[in-house]
Amino acid sequence: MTAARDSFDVLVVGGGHAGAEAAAAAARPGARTGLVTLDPAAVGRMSCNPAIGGIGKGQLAREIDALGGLMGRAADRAGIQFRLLNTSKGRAVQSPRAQCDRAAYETAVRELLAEQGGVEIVAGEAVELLLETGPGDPRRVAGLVLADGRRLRAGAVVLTTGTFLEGVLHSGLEQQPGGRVGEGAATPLGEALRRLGLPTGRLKTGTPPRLAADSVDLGACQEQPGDPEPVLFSFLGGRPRLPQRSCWLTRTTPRTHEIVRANLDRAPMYAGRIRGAGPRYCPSLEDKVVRFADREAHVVFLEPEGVDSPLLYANGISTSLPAAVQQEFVRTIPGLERARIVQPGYAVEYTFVRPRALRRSLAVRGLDGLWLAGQICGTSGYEEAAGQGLLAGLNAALWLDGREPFVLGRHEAYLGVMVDDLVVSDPAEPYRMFTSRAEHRLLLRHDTADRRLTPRGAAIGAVGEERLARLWAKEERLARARAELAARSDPAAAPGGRRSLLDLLRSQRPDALARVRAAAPDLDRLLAGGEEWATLEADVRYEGYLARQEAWVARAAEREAAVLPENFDFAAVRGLRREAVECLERFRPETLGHAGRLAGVSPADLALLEVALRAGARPTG
Amino acid sequence: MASRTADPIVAPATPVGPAERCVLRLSGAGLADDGGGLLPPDWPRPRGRREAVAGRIEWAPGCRVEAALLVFPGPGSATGEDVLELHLPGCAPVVDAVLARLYAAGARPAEPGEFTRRAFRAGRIDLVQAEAVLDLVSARTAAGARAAAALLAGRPGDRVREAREVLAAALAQLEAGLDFEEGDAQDLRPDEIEPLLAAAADALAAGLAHEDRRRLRRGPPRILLLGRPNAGKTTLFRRLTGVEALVSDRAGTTRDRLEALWRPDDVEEGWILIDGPGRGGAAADPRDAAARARAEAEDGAPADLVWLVADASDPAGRPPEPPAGAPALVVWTKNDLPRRVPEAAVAARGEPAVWIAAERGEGLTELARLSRRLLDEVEELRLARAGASERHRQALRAAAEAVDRARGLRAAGLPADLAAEELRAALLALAELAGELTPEDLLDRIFARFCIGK
Repeated sequence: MTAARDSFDVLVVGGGHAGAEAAAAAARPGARTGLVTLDPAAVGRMSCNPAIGGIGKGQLAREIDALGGLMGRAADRAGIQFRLLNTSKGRAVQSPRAQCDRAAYETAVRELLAEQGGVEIVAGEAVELLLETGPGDPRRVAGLVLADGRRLRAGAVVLTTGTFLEGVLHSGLEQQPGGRVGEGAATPLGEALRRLGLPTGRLKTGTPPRLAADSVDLGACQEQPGDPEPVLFSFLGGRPRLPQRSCWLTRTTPRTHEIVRANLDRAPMYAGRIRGAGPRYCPSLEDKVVRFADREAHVVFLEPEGVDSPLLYANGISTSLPAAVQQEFVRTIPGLERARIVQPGYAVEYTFVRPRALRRSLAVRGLDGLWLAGQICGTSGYEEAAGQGLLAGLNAALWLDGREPFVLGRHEAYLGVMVDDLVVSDPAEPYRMFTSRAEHRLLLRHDTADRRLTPRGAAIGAVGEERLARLWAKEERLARARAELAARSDPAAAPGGRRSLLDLLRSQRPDALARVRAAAPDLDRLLAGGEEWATLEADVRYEGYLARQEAWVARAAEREAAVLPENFDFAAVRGLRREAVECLERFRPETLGHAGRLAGVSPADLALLEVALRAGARPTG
Repeated sequence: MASRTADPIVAPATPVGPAERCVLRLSGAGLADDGGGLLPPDWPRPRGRREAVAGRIEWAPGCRVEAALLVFPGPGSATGEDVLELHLPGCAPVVDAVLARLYAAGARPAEPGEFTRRAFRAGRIDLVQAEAVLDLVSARTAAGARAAAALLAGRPGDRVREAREVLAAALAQLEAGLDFEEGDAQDLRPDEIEPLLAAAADALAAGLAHEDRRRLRRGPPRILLLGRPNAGKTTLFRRLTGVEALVSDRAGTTRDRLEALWRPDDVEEGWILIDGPGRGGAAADPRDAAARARAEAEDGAPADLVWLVADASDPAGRPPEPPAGAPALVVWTKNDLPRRVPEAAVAARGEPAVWIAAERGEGLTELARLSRRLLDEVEELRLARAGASERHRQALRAAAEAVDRARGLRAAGLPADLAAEELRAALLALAELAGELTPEDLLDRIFARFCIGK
């Protein structure tokens, strides 16, 4: 198979969640984009669990959608169970989640890419970056060399190699190169990146076994149905397309744990075969049994892989024990006594580039023309990968046009928190989003992603008119409803007391929203459903807190806006401690705000740095 | 750099405590114009021009004090912004009440070096000046940190750390519940949260009470006399203060720590001299050992200056090592007797030295002059400490209020995201005193405690 062309504006390597978003985001403002993948039929594939969203991640998925990305729409098309999580814990931490039909999801991603246009899929393995050095210019990336010898030229390259970069699959003590079971690995590229001087490391992740659905006794499990009124991801609206399904819960038993313990010497993590660090938030069953030895049971979620899929995904028992041991322990779990494993769980170890090598645009520092996104930056998760992909692809296209990078602040989006965290950290485990990472969490509700991001995306041509028009229409409805509520009295207010329905809504009473809706049924026709009521309620209730968080943001704004030039000489700053200089040189923060978030920089260091910076920016006199 | 709207900051420019007056300095945009909304209507008010306005301030219902307001409109002021100086009587409760009004109206305590940074940014001082001041601030911050460490070494500091620990534990519980679904996070014990918050509230109240006591104790500079037994400390002490202590030639005679005022010429306020049991030799009897232990414990509220007293007529006379945290000078006593201490022992010491004969009154003027010079330097540090203490109190108060609100939200059965917000605010307020709790720290706690994840 040969590509129709061999010259692109932007080339994306990898067709997973990061790669698909990167290609789409680069193409949206008009860059001629190529997506290089080992297997065109696997573009958009869910390697791990068939679900999008969840706490923290659902917010990311909606932010991606608000910026015109694919993920939200694909999940809406492929969703077979929608749940809003954390409903009892406050609007600020509520997160949508969708169980997806695995096949329908990847199909939806490919369809959405095709519908959008502008992205050419190229089958092949990238093994080398084409470098160019102009006269007096620093070296820059000018394209790719493929394994079959083809040379593709491009102004910008985005690498989204996922678990494929020098990927090694572990199943028991057996190992083989690969990024996903049954697929190859990108081994030469890892060496190529190290030759360029990029700092790399190893991380690992794992998957649980997949079970034959007809061998599982769901009657012995607890059913977990979807929400009756599903909250979707995309701000473009719509309804679930596929028939809806339930998930199921069961639990491991002491006997399960005995079997795992008895076979730990055959687990690659414990036998010392895997050196990469695994995530603490998604531990293997081996880890759970060792670290929480006194627990008698761990929850197992049985998730359907599709509407009619013959497979169940056994979430919660990620493992890399030998297949025979997996089969043995699975059958000690209620409901799984006769379960057949169709695909045993396995662990995968892969190379990542330490994200301190990146700017906040996700461009590699000191090497023009190269962007990274997804697991190659040390993250984990579809949503984290897709979010970075979108930002990297968009920034590559903007850079080619000579425009400013698109960088989001920590107070603007979880996307901003993620990128900001990455470039000042040296991850010891794959980075995953949690709402607790966002100090301005109350500002970052899932239902306000469009309000926060769509206008910003539209301003740089990354988001179409339709999304903006929908947003303004929604804001107008919310404003009208609010004005109506302020003008109407609460019929249940104490005699002589004057309280508006808006006051009632603000009152933090648990039943406030229900009472307001009952008192103003006509507004149900104005607002588009329960979701907009929820937005209105949260806007009103959190007002005081939002003002406080915004005041914090305003205070920090000056430091966040103070850019440290890339060639800034930290060692020349008078009075700066040696440790601080070393830390600053290692991470080369882009702004003073950034410098302040480095673990090795004290407030006194920051004050000295600020004075030195401003002295440089001002004519001496 | 273009000047931005600067939020108003305030800090005492003189130590808070018994003194003739205390100056509170404010800087911010729009302050010269009627106070920028910070000053209550009955206070002296700025009228947009450089001037001094006298008036009275009602600091508590029915209680008024004389106050003066000095107005320095920007950009000709020290920081380039509008600067106000509020001159008040140096009385802690008055200053407290006034500060509380200013905080409530939207001023916040200045960070270390913040006036200087603003001055530099506005071009009012040059880089060399800014660096010089920031060096000092950095030294002051270090000195303040040492002072805080000394202060926190005792029980009150433990209470602050305890508050931080229990708040962090409570927040980890809350956050684990927010960041993981039921089933994803096991072992959550939400019923543990309220007792933790109650413990945090108690600890913060205790910490605040301690800070209040500490600042009220401030007064004239304190000079600690240290020296081996019979080095001549007590003779000197008696000569300067007129206060008698039991003195004999037997080592270890002075049993109790004595404090008395010395008023050299030109020192209006006077200095407090602190005499204690001799140290450096073995305790002559058990009672003396007990007194010494007590005196050493009390050294936790340290002096501003230390006199290292040594006998110049004794061939083995050596001044003691100076304690950390205060400047010291060496006082060689019995200078009327033949000097037997070797020159090398004298030259080996880096501190300034004075030679006296206390019985005859020789060298005392020089002792006063040198002490005064060192105490002037210390005064700079006292200023820094006053600022630090003010920030500590503000931090403890803010944390206590946030914990109260969190408990109220929980008691009302409201969703956990707001309570978590309050606990984060409380921990943020305590960051300067007890260390910052980063999101990574929080996640470490969550992962260490709870079995998380699918």
